[in-house]
Parts: sequence; structure tokens; C-alpha cells
Amino acid sequence: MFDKNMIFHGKHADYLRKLAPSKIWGSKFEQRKSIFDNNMQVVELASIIGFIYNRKGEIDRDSSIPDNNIFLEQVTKIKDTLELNYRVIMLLADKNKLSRDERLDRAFRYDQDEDKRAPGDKLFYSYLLGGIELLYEQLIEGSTSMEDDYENLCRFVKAYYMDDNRTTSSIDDILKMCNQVGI
Amino acid sequence: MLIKEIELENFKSFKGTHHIDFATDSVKNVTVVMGDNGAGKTTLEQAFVWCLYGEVEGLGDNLLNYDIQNELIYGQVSKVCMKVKLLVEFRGQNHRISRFQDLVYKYNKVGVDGNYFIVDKQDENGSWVRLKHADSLVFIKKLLPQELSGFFFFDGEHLDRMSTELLQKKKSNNFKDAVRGLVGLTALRNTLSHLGPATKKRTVCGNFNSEINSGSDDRIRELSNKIDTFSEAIEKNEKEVENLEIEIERHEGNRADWQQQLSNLQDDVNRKKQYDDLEKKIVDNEKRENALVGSLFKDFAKNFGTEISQPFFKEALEEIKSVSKTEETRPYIPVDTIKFLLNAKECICGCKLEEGSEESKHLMSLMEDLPSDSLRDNIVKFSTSIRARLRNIGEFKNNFEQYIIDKNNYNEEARKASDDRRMLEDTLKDTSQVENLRKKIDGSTARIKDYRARVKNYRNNIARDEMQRKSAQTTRNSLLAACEKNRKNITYYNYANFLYEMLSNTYMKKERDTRRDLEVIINEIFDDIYDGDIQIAVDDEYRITSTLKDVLGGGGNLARNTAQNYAIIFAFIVGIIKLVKINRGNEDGYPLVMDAPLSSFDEKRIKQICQTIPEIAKQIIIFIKDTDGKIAEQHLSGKIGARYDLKPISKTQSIIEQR
Repeated sequence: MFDKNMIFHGKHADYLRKLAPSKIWGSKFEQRKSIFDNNMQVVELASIIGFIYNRKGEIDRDSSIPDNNIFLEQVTKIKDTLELNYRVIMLLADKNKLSRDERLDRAFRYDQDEDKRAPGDKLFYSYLLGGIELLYEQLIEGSTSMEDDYENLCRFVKAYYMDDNRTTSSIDDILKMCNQVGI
Repeated sequence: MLIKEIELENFKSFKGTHHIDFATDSVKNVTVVMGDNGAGKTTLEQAFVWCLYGEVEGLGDNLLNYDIQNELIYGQVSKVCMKVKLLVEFRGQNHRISRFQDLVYKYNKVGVDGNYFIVDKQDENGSWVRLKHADSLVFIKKLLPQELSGFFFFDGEHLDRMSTELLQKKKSNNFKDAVRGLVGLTALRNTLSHLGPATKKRTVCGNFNSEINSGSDDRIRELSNKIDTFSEAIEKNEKEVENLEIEIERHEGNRADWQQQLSNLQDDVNRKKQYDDLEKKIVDNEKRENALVGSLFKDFAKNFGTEISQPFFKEALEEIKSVSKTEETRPYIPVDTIKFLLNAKECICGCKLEEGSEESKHLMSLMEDLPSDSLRDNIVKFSTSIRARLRNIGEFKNNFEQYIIDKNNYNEEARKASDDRRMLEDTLKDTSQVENLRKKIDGSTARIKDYRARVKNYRNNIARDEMQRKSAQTTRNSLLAACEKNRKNITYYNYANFLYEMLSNTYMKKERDTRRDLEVIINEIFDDIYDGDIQIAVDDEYRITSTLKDVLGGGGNLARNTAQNYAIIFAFIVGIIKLVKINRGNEDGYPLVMDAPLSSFDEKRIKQICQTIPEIAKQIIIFIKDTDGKIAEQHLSGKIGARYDLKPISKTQSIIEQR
């Protein structure tokens, strides 16, 4: 799991470039500094954002946009986060369609088995693409300056905390549960 | 010295012959010549100077009356004479000083055809005896050296120049020598420069010193050459030091002026500084704001995912909690273990696993159901990963809110600074003048520093050469003492040198005393004619510095206004006259011929000057315009012996009328 290059096509490749524009892309000039330093930071966050905001995306096959490739070397650096997000999503998604055992298997038992993992992977990547779309729309679309980015970011974060449906949990409770399941 | 009469003929605006008898009475010693602007007051003052010295600074050669020039040009006359005659009393004897020019028109211009300067002296019998030309020049030098004439015949321009020489630290050796002459130091000084020092070959001491060398053996000659070389080097370096010190003084003077100007512009400077500070504050706040936003972005990218995942971590852990117990009943067996047993065809219990047997089939079906990974291991990994995440997250929400507050504060500060800056922009004048002054001051400071370093260097060289010269002199003296031939010269040299040193000390003491006396007198006079709150000092070069009295530490060199400057010059001139009177008894005194001398003063000062000067100067001749003149006449009423009016009758002609 997460032991290959990650390749983004079409609009998602483009969104990634705009979310982390410090990389040189399609131009000789350095882009302006924005919220994310690199693609990996975007992917780390987008994978869980898509799930939390329930936003799925589909692979865009627009071949006029160059692919955006995150090489294995970079993927390895964020592997732990991606695995964690993967397992959370597998455990909590499709609760009404799958039994607990099935979700547990999907989360923990198929790391080495690509075939069995395929449905889970598809779900994870659809949330990842949805997360990229959401981050792009909320933070970067229409923004031309660092000040715009800042305004968008504040609006996004404040909106998250103002959403009454969000449940909160104390870190201590979670750590206690970690100890209980730590076996 | 008394000026009894002046006669002018065709001199500038005075066409034909004009005559003035001046007041020479010991009590009523003031002559007032009043005239409007352009009536010829300055011309009269210039006539005195031209008669005595043949030139008037800044006036050129063409002094002939304009109408007479036209008569020459149009051939109405072929030759004219321009003349100024003075009748003066000097040491009890009348002298007639005449200077005249014959002028003709040729080669399309008016030119001088003959220049004459004649001094006649009246003897006891009343007969006039003509002095030889050379004696005439000597007489003028005795009467009043030209270098000092500016102090006794002065107008506004002279005051400016004197102000420069006396007060603004510009050196004038002529002036210094002339002052020394007036106060009776020249003879002694000349004696001294005739006698020594021994390092100068053309002096008596120097001559004996060089005589000592002749006839000596090679060693003495060698030492003498060395001494000469050192002496030359010392003299050269001393000259350099002197020149550099003049430059240092000049730069220090300029720098003080510029600093004064800068200080006058201080309000502008302060406003500019305030403006620059505000600009810096705005830039700093922008930088801080940007840094803050950068930190906020980093924090968001790193921690927001974990922050919002917390409820889902909890929910996920709830799911695992209930299931993990089941896992305990179904321990994880890796698929590879089953494959190994099948390949070995024997179970760990020893039962044979033949291919196709029931046992083998059972194991193969079990293997297909086994998961690829250990649930237990991955759950442990999962919970460890959550723990690690939560440990690092910190207070994301609180930090986020603090970022926003801080950013707003910086933004508000920058906005306020920007408003203040805009308000200052309206009051801010062109600061290039300040920058220029600063550049000039910095330039002068750098030069002064450089010159001082060079002076120090030269002085070190002088000290080194002097030490070596002294050492050579000691060696030579001991050699010479043994040499019979030189004994006589050494004796002469010692006598001359002793005399030189003795006179030198006397001279220095006398000069010091003279300067001190001059200083006391000037301060007394200044107190009389101006206010008594300024202390005037005369330095080694006879220059003036003034400080406020009763200020701790002397108050520094005082920035003076024009009236104060002129009052100081008045005090200096009158002080010199008084000192000369004291030194030479009452036989001599000097007149003062002043053109518009009072225009810089208010009525109170005019009154004080009018009361003071006639008491000290032997004779006063004032050319004055009507407004100041009336005030002066009012305060001088008991002293005025003669009154004249100058009246212009055309643009090119004036006449003199006695009142």
C-alpha cells in the first residue's frame, strides 16, 4: 500500500499545481508563495478532507493538461499519514452497506493484497480527488495574492468551527482509547 | 595723525575742484558729511584711500569724472588732470600728500598719461620741503600702513572683509604684521629675525653656526652636513604642519557654519526622521505580517488534517475496540506458513499431508480464507500512529485565533503609521539642503581627520629629526670644543644665541602682554558700545572669538549677528587706537574715516557708539545718510566741529556744501 508513484491527471494535476505553486510549473519563473509548500502536504490533507466533507471526485482524463506525478520517494515520506487516513476511511465509510468485519478487513487485512484492496483503494482515491477539488475551490480559486489566500483560509477554518454538526472529542479520551485497543 | 583738509579734482562724481576742512579741535573732533544714497559718500571715503595708496580695492583704474571723460572723448579738451590732495598733521608737522593723474584720449580710449605722487613737509619756518619719492613711500608707511587702512577708512564692504579676517578664522599675515607694527612690536621682531634662529643660515646665529664648520675635520663636516639635512627636513615639515593647520582651521570654521545652518534646520530634520521612522515601521509591520501569515499557512498544512480528524479517530477506535476481542480467538497465521506445511507434506502435529488428501484440501481452503495481514499488528500500528499525531498537534484552534489577532494588530499599527506619514508629507520640506549640509560636514570632518593624522605624522618626523639633530650637535660640539680653530666662533655663536633667546623671551612676553592689554581694552569698549554679556578674546593670530559671559565652560564660540560682529570690529579698531595712544603717549593718534558705519545698529547702540568713539579716536570723519545722520548728530552734538552736505546735481555730478 502506497508503494508506487501517485499520478494525478487533468484538472486534479492542475489544482495540485495551484495549491502548491512554489514549484516551477510550465514557466521559467517561481510562482508566488501560497498555503502549501509542496504536493505532498496537499495530498496528506486532501485525503481526509474529502472524507470529512464527504466530497468524492473522479479521475479527469483531460489529456491537454500535463500529469502531475508524485514520485515514490515523496510518497514514502507521507506513507504513515496516508495509511492512517486510509484506515479511518475504510473503517467509517459505507457503514450501512458493509458489516463491521468487512470494514475491519478492508482497513487492516489487505495491505499486501492489491486485488482485495482494490474497492477500498478506489474509495480512498475518490475522497482524495474530492479533497483536492474542495481545497482548490475553498482556498485558491480566484485568489491572486497571499492576502487573498489568507482571507480564504480564515473563512474556511472559521466555517469549519462554526458548523454545529461537528462533534468534538478530547485528546485525552482518544489517547485512552488508543491504550485500550493497543492490545 | 590729523587729517586737516581734502581737495578733490575731477575724481569720480566730483567734477572740478572741491574742498573740505575737517574738524581738528581736540574736543570738537567730529566732522559729519551727510548725503543721500548715490550722493558720493563712498567716493569721498575712496578718495582718501586712493590718495594715500594709489589704489582702491574693487574700483578699477577709471576714476575720472564721467562728464570730463566725455569732454576728452569729444575733443573739447586734450588733456585733463584728476587729483586728490590731503593735508595731514603727523607728529606735529604738516604734510601735504598729493596724488594726481594726467589723462588723455588716444587709441579710442581714455588713458593715463602721467602718474604723480608727491609728499611735501612743512618745516618750522612754514616752508614746504618736498620729500624724495622713496621717502614719501616710507612716510606713508609710517603714517598708516596700507594693511591697516581698512580699519581707519572703512565702509560696509570693509566691514565684511574685516569680519572675515577678524572673526571667521581666515589668516592674514599682512594684517597680523600690521597690528604688531601699530602696537610697537615690529622693531623687536625684526631684531629677532636678524639674530636667529641658528637653524636659518642668513641670521647672525646661523652665520656663526655655519662658520664653526669651516676648517674642521671630516668628521665635523660630516656631522655638520647631517645637522643641516635634519634642519632642512624639520623646517620643511614645520612648513607642512603650518599649512595643514591653516587648512584644518578653515575646515573647522566651515564645519561650524554648516553645523549652525543644520541646527537651524533641525525642525525639518526631526520631521524627516519621524517620517523615515514611520516608513520603517510600516515596512517592519508588513514583514511581520507576512511572517505571521507564513507561519499560519505552515500550521494549517501540517496540523489541520489531524485537528479535524479527531472525532473520526475516536469513532474508528470505537469500531476497533469491539472487534479486536474476536481477533484474540482467531490468531493470525501467515499464508506462507500453510504453504510451507503443504510443501513439506507434513503438519506440525506430525500428520502426513499427501497431495489431494482430505487434510491437504482442508488446509488449502483454510489458506484462501486467511487475511494477507495481521489485524492485530495493524491495529497496534494504527493506534500508535494516532497517538503520535495527537502528541504533535498542539492547540491548533487557539493558535489560529492568536494568529488572526496578531495579524490584525500589526495591520492596525501599519495603518496608523501610514496615516501619520501622510500627514507629515504635507509639512515635509525639501530635505536636500539638509543632505547637502550633512555631506559637506562629513566631507570636512573627513578632511580634518586626514589633516590631523598628517600633522601628527609630520610632528613625529620633526621630533625624530630634532632628536637626531641634537645628538649630532652634541657630538659635534664635543669635537669642536677640542678644536682650537673653532673656539672663537663658538664663543661668538654662544653670545649671539644667548642674545637671541633672551630677546625672544622678551618679545614673547611683550606680545602676550600686548594681546592681553588689547583684549582688556576691547572688552571695555565693547561693553560701552554694545551689551556687556559677551566676552571677547584675542588669540595668537590676533583673531577674535566671542563667548557668552557667565556660562559654565565659556559657552563655546558664539554665533553672532551682524550688529554684534560690527560692534566687535568697532571695539577692535578703537581698541587698537587706544593701545597705540597708551604705547606712544599722546603725541600720536589715528583718525577714523567711516562711511555709513551705523546702518547696522539700532538707536540705542548708535548713541553708545557716538558717545564712546570720539573719546578715543583723535578725529572722526563720518559719511552718513540722513536718517542715521540725524540720530548721530543728536548724540554727537557737543563733538561736531564741521558739517557738510553732499548733493547730487546730476547723475554724474555731486557738490559739497558746508552747513
